[in-house]
Amino acid sequence: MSRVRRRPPAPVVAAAGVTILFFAIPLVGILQRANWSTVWSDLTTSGARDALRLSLISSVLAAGLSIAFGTPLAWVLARSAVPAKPLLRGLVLLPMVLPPVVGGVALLAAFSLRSPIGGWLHDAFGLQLTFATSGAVMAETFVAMPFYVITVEGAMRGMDQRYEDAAASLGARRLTVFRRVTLPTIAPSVVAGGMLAWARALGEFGATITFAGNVMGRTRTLPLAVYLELESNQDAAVALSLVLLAVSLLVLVSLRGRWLSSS
Amino acid sequence: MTLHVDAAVRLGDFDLRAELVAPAGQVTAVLGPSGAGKTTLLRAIWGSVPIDAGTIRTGDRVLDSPPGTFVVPEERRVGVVFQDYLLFPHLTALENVAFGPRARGWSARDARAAAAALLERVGVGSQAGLKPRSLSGGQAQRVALARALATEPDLLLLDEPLAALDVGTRVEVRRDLRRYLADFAGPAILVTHDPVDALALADRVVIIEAGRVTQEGTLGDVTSRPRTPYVAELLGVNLLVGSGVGHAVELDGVSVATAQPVEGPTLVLIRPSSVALHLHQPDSSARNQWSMSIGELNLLGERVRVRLVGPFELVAEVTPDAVAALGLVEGGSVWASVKATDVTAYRA
Repeated sequence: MSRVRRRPPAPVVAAAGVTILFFAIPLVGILQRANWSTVWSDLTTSGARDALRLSLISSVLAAGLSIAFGTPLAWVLARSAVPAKPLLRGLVLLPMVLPPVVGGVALLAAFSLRSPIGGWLHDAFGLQLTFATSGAVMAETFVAMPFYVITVEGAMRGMDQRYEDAAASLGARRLTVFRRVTLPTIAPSVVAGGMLAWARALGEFGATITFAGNVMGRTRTLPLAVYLELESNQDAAVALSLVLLAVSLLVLVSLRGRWLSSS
Repeated sequence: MTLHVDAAVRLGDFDLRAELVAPAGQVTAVLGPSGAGKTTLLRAIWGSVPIDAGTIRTGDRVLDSPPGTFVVPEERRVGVVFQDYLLFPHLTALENVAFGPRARGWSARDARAAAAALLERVGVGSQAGLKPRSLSGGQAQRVALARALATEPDLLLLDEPLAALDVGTRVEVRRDLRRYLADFAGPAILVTHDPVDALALADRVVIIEAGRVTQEGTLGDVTSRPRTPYVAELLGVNLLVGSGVGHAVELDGVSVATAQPVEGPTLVLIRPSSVALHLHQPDSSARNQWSMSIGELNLLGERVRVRLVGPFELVAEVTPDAVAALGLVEGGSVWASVKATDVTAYRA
C-alpha cells in the first residue's frame, strides 16, 4: 500500500465524470419523469398485471431451462475434448451479440407453422410456438442461456480440477464427481449465471415480439407492454419501466460483480 | 500382491521411463529432486495420466498397458494422499472420509460409521464435524490419510505427505504415519524429496532423477553404495566417478588410493567424517593428500561441513573446535587427507 495516494490526472478524472453522467442522466430522467401519484394504479391495471405475471412466469421458466440445458453444455465445453470447440462455443454465444430481432427472425424461420420443424411439431404434437407463451419462453431462453453458459463454463475451468481427480481416485464415477464435487464448488456461479440469465430473459424484447408476437396475456411481457403503452399512456410505460429498472439494479447489486471474475 | 511398474510417459517436453517394484506390506520411498518425475509416476499409477508404453499392474491385475488396457482411476482401487491433501472444502472431515465408501455404493449410514471409526483411529475423531479450513495442517494430513484408507485400497500412494507441515508437527505426524503404514497390507509408495522421511518410513528406496530410475534397493544398499552424486549428496557422502587402475582410481588428473583393487569405471565413496584437514602437508600414513581451498563452511549441529574445492569437490566434516584451532576461513587453503582404508570403491 502506497503511503501517498496517487490520483489520476485531472483531465482523466473529468472525462470519467462525463462518462458517469452519461449513465446517470437517463436514470435521473426516468425517475423525474415518473408520475409517482399514479404509479401504483398504472401497475395494477389488468393489462399491467397480465404483463407482470407473464414476464415473471416466462423469465423464470427461461432461467430454469437455461440451467437445465446450459449446465450439461457448460460441462462439455469445459471438460471434454470435443472437436471444433471454439466454433461450438461461438455458436452458443452468438445470441449475445446477435441483434435480438435477428434471433427472432431466425426462430420464426425455423419454427413457424410454415417451416418444416414448426409444421411437424404442430402436426405431431399439436404444438404451436408462435403467438404462444411457449414461444415467448423459447425466445427468452435463446437470448438468455448464453449468459448462463459462459458464467458456468468459466467457473468450471477456473476451479481446481484436482478435486475432481481426488474424487475419481476415491472411486466416484463422473456423474457422482459432478454432483458431489464440481457442482458444490461452482454453486455460487450457478446462482450468478442463473440470475444473469433471468434478468436478461426478463428484459427480452426483440426476439420475443418477432417470434412470439404481441398477444396480451400470452406473449405480451413487460418490455412489450412498455413499448405498447408508450403510444397511448406514457405514465404507464414509465411505471412499468421502473419495475424493470428496479429488478435490474437488484440483480446487479446482489451479484456484486461476480460474473466479472473468472472463477 | 506386488505393484510392478514398467512404464514410459511423455508429458510435453518431459519424458519419464520408470521401472520399479513395490512389494506388499512394504513402504517404497520414491526420492528425487523436484521436477524429476515423482508426481508423474504417481499419477500414472493411480490413472490420471495414461502411460505411452509398458505396463502397470498389481499382482496379475493389469491397470494400464497400452494400447489395449486402461483401467479408469475410479476402478483402480488405489488410495492417494495428495500433496496438499485436496480435502473437499465443502464437506466436513467425516463426509470427506465417507466420500469414497459412498461412491462405492455403501449406504450413507455405513459409510459415516466407517469414516468415524477411521478418524478415531488416526487421532482426529473429535474433529469429525469440522470443515477442512478449520483443521490444522497435521489434522488435515490425518484426515487425508483416513480418506485414502477408507476405500480399502489395494495400493496406497502418498505424495510428499509431510511437506506442508511445520517442523514440530512433522516429527509427530511422521511417527504416527509409520505406524499406520505398518498396518497397511498392500504396497505403499511414498514420494518425497526429504531423505529423512525415506529413512524414517521406508523399507525400500527408488531414486528418480530427470525422469529415470537411477537406483533402487533397500535403504542400506542405497546409503552405503550411492550411484549418483545426487544420492550421495542426499545421503551426505562424497561420491566421485573415475576409472580404477589397481589400487587407485584415476579422476581428472588426480588419483585416489584405495585399499582394495579396482578396475574399470568406478564409484568412489568417501564419508565426510573420514576427511582430515591440515594447514600444512601432513606427514602421515594417509595415502591420499590433496591441497585444496575452502569453498564454504556450514555449521550443522555439532559438526561443521567444509566444502573443499580443488582438483575435485569434496565435503569434510570436522568439529567447530578444529575449525577454530586451524583458523579455517572461507577462501583459505588447506590440505585434506583420507586414508585409503576409508575410501570405498566399487564398480559403477
